[in-house]
Formats: sequence, C-alpha cells, structure tokens
Amino acid sequence: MKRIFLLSSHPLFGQGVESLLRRETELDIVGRESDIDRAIARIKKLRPDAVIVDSNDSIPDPALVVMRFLREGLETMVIGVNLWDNVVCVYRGQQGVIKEVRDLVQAIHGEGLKVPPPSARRRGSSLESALKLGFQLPWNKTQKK
Amino acid sequence: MAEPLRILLVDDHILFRKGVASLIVSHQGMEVAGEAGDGLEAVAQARKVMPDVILMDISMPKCNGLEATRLIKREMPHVKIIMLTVSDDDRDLFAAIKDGAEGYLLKNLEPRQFFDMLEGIRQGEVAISGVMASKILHEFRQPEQSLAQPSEEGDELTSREIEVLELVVEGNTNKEIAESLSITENTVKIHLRNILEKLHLQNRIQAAVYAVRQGLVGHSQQAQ
Repeated sequence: MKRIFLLSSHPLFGQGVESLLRRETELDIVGRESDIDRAIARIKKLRPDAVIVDSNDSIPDPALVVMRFLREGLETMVIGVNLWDNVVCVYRGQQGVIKEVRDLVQAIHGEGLKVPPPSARRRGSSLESALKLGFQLPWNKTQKK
Repeated sequence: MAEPLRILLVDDHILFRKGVASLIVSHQGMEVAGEAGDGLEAVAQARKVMPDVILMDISMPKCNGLEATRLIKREMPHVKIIMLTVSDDDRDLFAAIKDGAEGYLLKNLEPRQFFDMLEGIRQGEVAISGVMASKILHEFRQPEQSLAQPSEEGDELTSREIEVLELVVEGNTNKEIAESLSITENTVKIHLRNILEKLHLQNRIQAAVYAVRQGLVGHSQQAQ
C-alpha cells in the first residue's frame, strides 16, 4: 500500500484527483493541503511515500518543492502535475554528501547515497560556530556600516 | 424527485476531467452523460447524448471551446453551456457570452461553489465566478458599444419587463425576482423569454449587459 499526500490550491482539481485515487485499492490518501508550509508540517508527521504537487501561483514548481523538502530532511518522492497540460513529472528527491567519485556513479545507477546530508539544524550550528570564530557575513558587515 | 442533471464534460486535461467526473458521480441529482477531449468530439458527443448542461474548457486541440460553443448553440440552442477554464482573460469571457454561454467558471473554485452553481443552472440562473462577474460589471461602465442588434419598432419592453431586467442586472435569481415582484417563478421565466426575444439576445447575461449599456435600467444598478 503506497501512502499519498496531495498538495494543491485548486480545490476542485485537488478533490477531483483525490476522489480518483481513492478508488485505487493499492493507494492510501493520507492527506491534502493547499499551503506548502502546512503541508510540510503534516508530511513530517505522516511520512507519505509520495507527494503529488499541483504547481500554481501559490505553490512553487515541483523541482523547488523537492529542494524545500530536502532542506527539511524529507526525501519523499514528488509527482508534479498542473492544470495547464497533461504532463506529469516525477522527482525522486534524495540528498547526500559525495566523498569520492564512486558516490556520484552510485547515485547515477540509482544505488542511493550512502553518506546522509547534514541536517538543517547541523548546518545552522555550523553557521553559529563560524560566527563565534569571527567570520563575518556580508549582511552583518553592511549593518555595521 | 427531479430528473438528474445530465452533464457533458469537455476538457483535454485528463486528470481534471476525470476528477470532476468522479465528484459529479458521487453528487446526488447529477450524472455524467458523456466526456469529450476536444471541441469536435464535444459537438459529436452533444448530438449523441443530448445533455442538459455542457461544462466546456476553452483551450483545447483541434477545435477550441468557444468554437465548439458556437457550433453546439447553433444546432442545439436549448443545451446550457458553462465555460470551465483557467482563462480569466476578458476576451475569452466576452467571446463566450457572445457565443451564447450561460456561465463562465474558473477552475480554481471550491467544489461546494461548483455544485451550487450547477444547481442554480437547473433553476435557470447563470453561473459566473466572482472575479469574472466583476469584469462584466466593469464592462458595464465602458462607453456604450452594443452587444446586440438594436431592437426593432414594436419590440419595446413593457414596464414590467424593465422591472424584471433591473432585478436581473442586480444579480437576482428567478426566485428572488418572483418574490420582489410578488409573481410566480414561471411568470418571471416568461418575462425573461420575452425580453430575450425582443432584444434578440440569447441569455440573461447578454440581457443585463445590453440593458445597462442602452440605459434601459436605472443608474442605481450601475453603481453597485
């Protein structure tokens, strides 16, 4: 059973797709949201296998949604749909750190990345440490002037 | 119990069309009479299934929704056509009205509003998304430019018909007009039919636009 989450701010379209997918016995629709921030909060709890993203004025392009998910530590598959055409794009979001060329080659073969990325919090800590060590960020410099 | 409203869905966007069909199927009092993926298929399906209402997308391959509306209205004027589109372009809106569409809905509407609009269509009302209704009102305020041919001698509206037209311009439903004038809904429908015949128009939106542009109704309506 694959667990699906829907992100769409077109209610008629979103509910229509939900209604269609609910007929599929091998799919479980775990939630639907119209706002990306609320969606991320729920996806973190629900951990669906795939998120269907209907891009529009208020929801960014699926590729940007994947980037946002990765920053939040979510490696959920993203399936991009839209109201303009019948094109569906599938993004298998994954993030990792390459230590050698072999890691890149393995990623190309779809074998997955062995070294997990630093979490958002750890990146934050690194930034704090850098500031403590006296590194100046461009915007801090500007503020001081 | 009333006969179910038979709807033909015309849209080349498969997920949207199938999704809306799925919602309609689970809604009481409505059924999907057929589906079409372009304007030409829509004309063929309309002839075949004779629906009560057609929900018509505009941008489609082979033959777009506006052209299909013209073709279907010429052949089957009684079939009600509601545009259901992502286009909020004024030109599409006014072309659709001119071609005889009874409504213009944007695809971003809520399912509840969507079904309310379809119920209204059954009662002889028009279905217009809020933002598109504003565009029509804005158009009212433009310099006079007739949508219809000028009426001929002997086609003057009666004072009662003008009263009905004023209430149409205000956006009242047939039921509300009937209540305001203390007459039955059937009488309202007869007045509306006579108004459309006299003005050589196809639907109440055209009648409302015509009435304001020609100054047939009071100025208070234009300011609203």
